[in-house]
Amino acid sequence: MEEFVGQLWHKYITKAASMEFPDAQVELNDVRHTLSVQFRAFGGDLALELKDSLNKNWKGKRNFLSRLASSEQKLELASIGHNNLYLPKNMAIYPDKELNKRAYLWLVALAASYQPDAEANWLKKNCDAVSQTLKKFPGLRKIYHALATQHVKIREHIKTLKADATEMTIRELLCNPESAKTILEENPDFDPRQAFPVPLWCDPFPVEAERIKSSLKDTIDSSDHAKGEKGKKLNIRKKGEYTSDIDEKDGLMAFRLESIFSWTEFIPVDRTADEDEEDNASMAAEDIDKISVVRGAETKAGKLKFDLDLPGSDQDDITINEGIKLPEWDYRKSLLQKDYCRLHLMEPRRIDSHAFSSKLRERAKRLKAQFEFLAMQKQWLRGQPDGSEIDLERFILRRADELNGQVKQDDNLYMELRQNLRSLSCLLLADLSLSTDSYVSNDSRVIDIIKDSLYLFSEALSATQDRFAIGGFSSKRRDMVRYYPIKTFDENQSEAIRNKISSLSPGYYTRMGTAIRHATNLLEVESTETKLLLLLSDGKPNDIDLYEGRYGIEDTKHAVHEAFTKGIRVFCVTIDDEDNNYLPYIFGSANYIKVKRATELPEKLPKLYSLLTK
Amino acid sequence: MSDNSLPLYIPQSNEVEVFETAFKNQLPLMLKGPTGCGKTRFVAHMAEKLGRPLYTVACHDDLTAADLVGRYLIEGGQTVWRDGPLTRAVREGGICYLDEVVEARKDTTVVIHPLSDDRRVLPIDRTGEQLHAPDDFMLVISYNPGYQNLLKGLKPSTRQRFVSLTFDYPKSDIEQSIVRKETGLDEFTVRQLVDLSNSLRRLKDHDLEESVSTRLIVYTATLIQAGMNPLQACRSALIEPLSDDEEVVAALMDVVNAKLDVF
Repeated sequence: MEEFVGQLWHKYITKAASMEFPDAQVELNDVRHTLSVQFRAFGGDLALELKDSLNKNWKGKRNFLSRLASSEQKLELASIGHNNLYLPKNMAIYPDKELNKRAYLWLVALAASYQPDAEANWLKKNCDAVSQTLKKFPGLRKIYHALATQHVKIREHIKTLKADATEMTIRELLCNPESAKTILEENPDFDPRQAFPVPLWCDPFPVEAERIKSSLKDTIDSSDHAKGEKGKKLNIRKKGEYTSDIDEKDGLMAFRLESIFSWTEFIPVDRTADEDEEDNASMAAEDIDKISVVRGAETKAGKLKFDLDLPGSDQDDITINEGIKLPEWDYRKSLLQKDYCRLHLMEPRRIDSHAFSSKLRERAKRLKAQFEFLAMQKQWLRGQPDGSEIDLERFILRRADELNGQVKQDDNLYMELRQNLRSLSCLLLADLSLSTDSYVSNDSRVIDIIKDSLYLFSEALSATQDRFAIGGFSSKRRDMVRYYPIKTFDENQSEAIRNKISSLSPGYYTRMGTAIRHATNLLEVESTETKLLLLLSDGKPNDIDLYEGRYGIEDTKHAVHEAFTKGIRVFCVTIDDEDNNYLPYIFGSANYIKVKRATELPEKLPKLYSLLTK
Repeated sequence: MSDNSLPLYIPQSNEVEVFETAFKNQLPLMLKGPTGCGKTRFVAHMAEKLGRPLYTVACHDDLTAADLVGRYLIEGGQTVWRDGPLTRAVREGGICYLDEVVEARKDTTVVIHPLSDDRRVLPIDRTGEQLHAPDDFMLVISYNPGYQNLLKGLKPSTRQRFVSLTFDYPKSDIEQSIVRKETGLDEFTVRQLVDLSNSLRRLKDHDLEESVSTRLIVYTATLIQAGMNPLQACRSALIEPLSDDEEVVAALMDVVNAKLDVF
């Protein structure tokens, strides 16, 4: 009973304390796609991805009730980082749902105009962005004024918020953004950063936002990192990044009104400072399996399982060739770094005879029959010297010629049904990184699905005339990109290939660009008319070094472009169920497909292939 | 535009000069560029300006050489030879414009190749004729490079027979004056429309497969000029033609609202 009352009390008091309007709340997840399209349409950086901002906890000046409710309050920030645009997970700062939606719209429009690299101070950049946005999008004026006046009204109702000079200036700036210039000129020292924050403005302390995110991310958001990376190792890596992130003074901020900014509490969160950078990956790996902290219901089941054991050289797969040097694109320098990566050709150490389920074998048989049928589909060839039917069109033309007094030796008056011969090579490139070790359903991991897909795909294609090859890849830093030539173009489908497919095991990371370049080279020497590179992946490009986030994405994009200039069409099939905005950026909107239910992939892939190559 | 009888065309760069020089020196021309950026209008304008008849053929995947050259038809027991558009252009000394040439069947190269090098002849198999193109005949082809055409590209051997011009959507100020002259819509609204379209063009390959074309802007402006509500006009002529994804359409309509000040 006591507990029950306690819960009720907690519920009541937190509700009373939060100056939010949960009934009118808008979830970012419901509008994420819309907002990211709008962000780009408003002129935002195409490469940025829209992400949830993370809660910041702090103890600040709060009203009585909120102090009563709990010692810590949550604050959600929206800010711009190097790779992402962060928006609050939900928006409930207005009592009206429509207004909350428009607050999101306003934030993406503002973010699109915000000049993160400008020299000016935060307030100036912020006010500039506001006036720019309103100037460029006059239709937003009414929205903005509605948002601003409503917000000022809400501020007036916050009892602890004293209407001092700073507060009045803030209200003036909110209601009359045109006055910003004069106000800033008259009060060059005006600094409202410690004042009650404004949700329609930029974040005054985005550096801290980045810090918090970086450290929290490792524990909470394993989504980026669960791809076979390791909790602790990441922490360590993150720390290295802080130094560069310090410059990142830019961003937007939205928040829950009950909270007041203070960052004394951030310091203890930054536990990474205790750690030392470790150079040796294998040493790090030893620590790693002890740590995989996952919090929250959103994380995939698969992320809970980490197989972080880096095998000894006698356990590892066999290296056939380790001498293939490939370049890599560095977007910061706009430079293709020659011979930057080394690609090793690998083979599984143990190749067991395959054990594909009878159900799957049955499916393979069926698919094969379908593809045989497709391959057998015939076409009428006109104007043949011999054939089963008369080519009437030709015949009429000839009659006309004859009537006209011309007799030509054109005897090609027949039509014949013949097999439609096309000249096509396809390389299927599968991601074998450790992230594929995660579970997508109760009984199958991503890697199982990939193996099943490769199996069905190879069976289906062996029934056609198309030349095809299968490769798998993973990577561990730039000097060890591992490529498994599972089936070459010249091999025929065989038991050995089936065994190889079934013996694949996941490992390491996803240096996608390098693998694409190798595959491109393999396809380039093919003499067929059409060349297709089909990429099968479950996540973003990433590796243990700097190859992640924007760097990895830009390199992969570049590799795809290189393939394109060599006449190879790249198509990506992904089972990443996150909101992957990076895909169209890398591949172009028409060149990728998301398979929503991963377990359907094996069936879908061959069908997709036949559609693509129609 | 000094001569009002010409189809409206505002040069983006030196394309008029290139066209005229190519024409005077009997060189074939290839126009590359996205759909609706003014390629066809440019050819119509130039044909008028040079005083030559224009034969436009919109190529499709069933277009054969006979469709270009001509064929015998049987009429009342008699046979009649009918010239195709290409043959007519060669006989009359006109401009033959093959729009989206990559779509045509491969056998069309048989007639395109001898016409587009220094021989400048059109062999007509069926009549046994060999037409020599007069000096004022010109062959112009166009195509739209892009991902979609990767499986259907233009062969290098064809490509290298043509002087090439690349078109893109006009710069903002030029595009504004085009739209204004085409539709007579007021300066302010036209500027809004063109700005908006330029924002939307950034979404190509990301959220949209195609860009907003100048043609679509002209359509939109025409609808507005005819009295349609600007929001409705933008939805019908600017946004809906670009995407079938309802979510994207709704998202972009918010941006249209933000731009047009009609909330």
